[in-house]
Amino acid sequence: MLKNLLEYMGVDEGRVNFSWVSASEGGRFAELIGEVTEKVKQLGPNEGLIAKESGCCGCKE
Amino acid sequence: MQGIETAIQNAAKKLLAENKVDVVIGFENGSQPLRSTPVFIRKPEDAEKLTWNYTCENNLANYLRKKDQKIGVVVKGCDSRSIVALMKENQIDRDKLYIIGVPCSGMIDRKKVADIVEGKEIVEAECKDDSLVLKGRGFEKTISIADVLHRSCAACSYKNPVIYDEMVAEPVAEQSEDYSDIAEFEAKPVAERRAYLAKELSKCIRCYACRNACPMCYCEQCFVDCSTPEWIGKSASDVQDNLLFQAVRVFHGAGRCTDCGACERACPMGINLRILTRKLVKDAKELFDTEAGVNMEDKPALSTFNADDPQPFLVKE
Repeated sequence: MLKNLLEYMGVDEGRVNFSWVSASEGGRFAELIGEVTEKVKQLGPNEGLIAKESGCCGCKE
Repeated sequence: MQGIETAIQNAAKKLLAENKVDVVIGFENGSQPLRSTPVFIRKPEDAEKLTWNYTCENNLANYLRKKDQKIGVVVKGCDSRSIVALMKENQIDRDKLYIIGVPCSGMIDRKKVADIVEGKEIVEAECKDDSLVLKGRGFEKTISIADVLHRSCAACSYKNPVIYDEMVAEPVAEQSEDYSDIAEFEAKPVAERRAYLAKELSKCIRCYACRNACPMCYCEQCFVDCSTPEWIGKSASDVQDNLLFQAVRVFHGAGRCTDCGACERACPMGINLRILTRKLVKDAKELFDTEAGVNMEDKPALSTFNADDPQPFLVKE
């Protein structure tokens, strides 16, 4: 539900990832993290949900 | 409306006179037209203060958590679902609660009324069946109540209380639930969704009325009030922080939110908060086939686990 909500709110699809990994599954953990890192790298830096406004106090000057 | 009001007063008078409850929580007329306010009646003779009209919008379940007194409470359909949800979370002791159920046909959104009279001051408001007569200096206007209902009330599918000890009127007709607004928003492109939420949340003044109006929001310490560590920026000028606040607030209600709409009705800036809360209500229904607070049997969606729970969120391997 969290992933659904975040993507609904406009977080890039694929940026939120979940999986079950047991503490004893070291290899699988490394593999998953590798995959997710790769996926997120492809998406590029997170621009945030809202375009930042320039200016000192939220003004657009 | 008049009949309901008298029935509520009589029920309250009887409960207090027979010492069945220590206090009756209901509504009294506010100091301005189209305003009513929660009231706590402790003496039978004060029961006449109790009122019932189209402005009893607060969710009174908010006053019932962790109370030692015996309480009688005037409850609409939405409030009753909150009470059920809170009972499941052990916040309300059913034995100490007497529920006066009122079938509700929706509450009036004063902001819509203000728009119709172009912001002019209303000196007198009178209900006549399905219409509302508004009088002010130099104008008189009759409007249809159906046109000025709160969004949450216009879409409500639980108008009659799901739990009560006494019902003061005949049940009203229910309508089927409709999540087409959420489905429509889901279907919009990401950029459009972001832009809409940014626009809505830029109105936020971080007054936290939405949090305080919500009966399900009862953490003793809220993450937005913390300063060590400061989980979230406190200034309303940062729309990103406003959105984060709503994301967390809304998610805390996942599988618990009864879609009573109290948050949105309390919002002084008229932010469309239910576009977020209803997404979770819809997901809970679709993923786990549960609705919060409709009966005592179902467990809240996120506090149970089944091996065959759907897990569409997992990374595809």
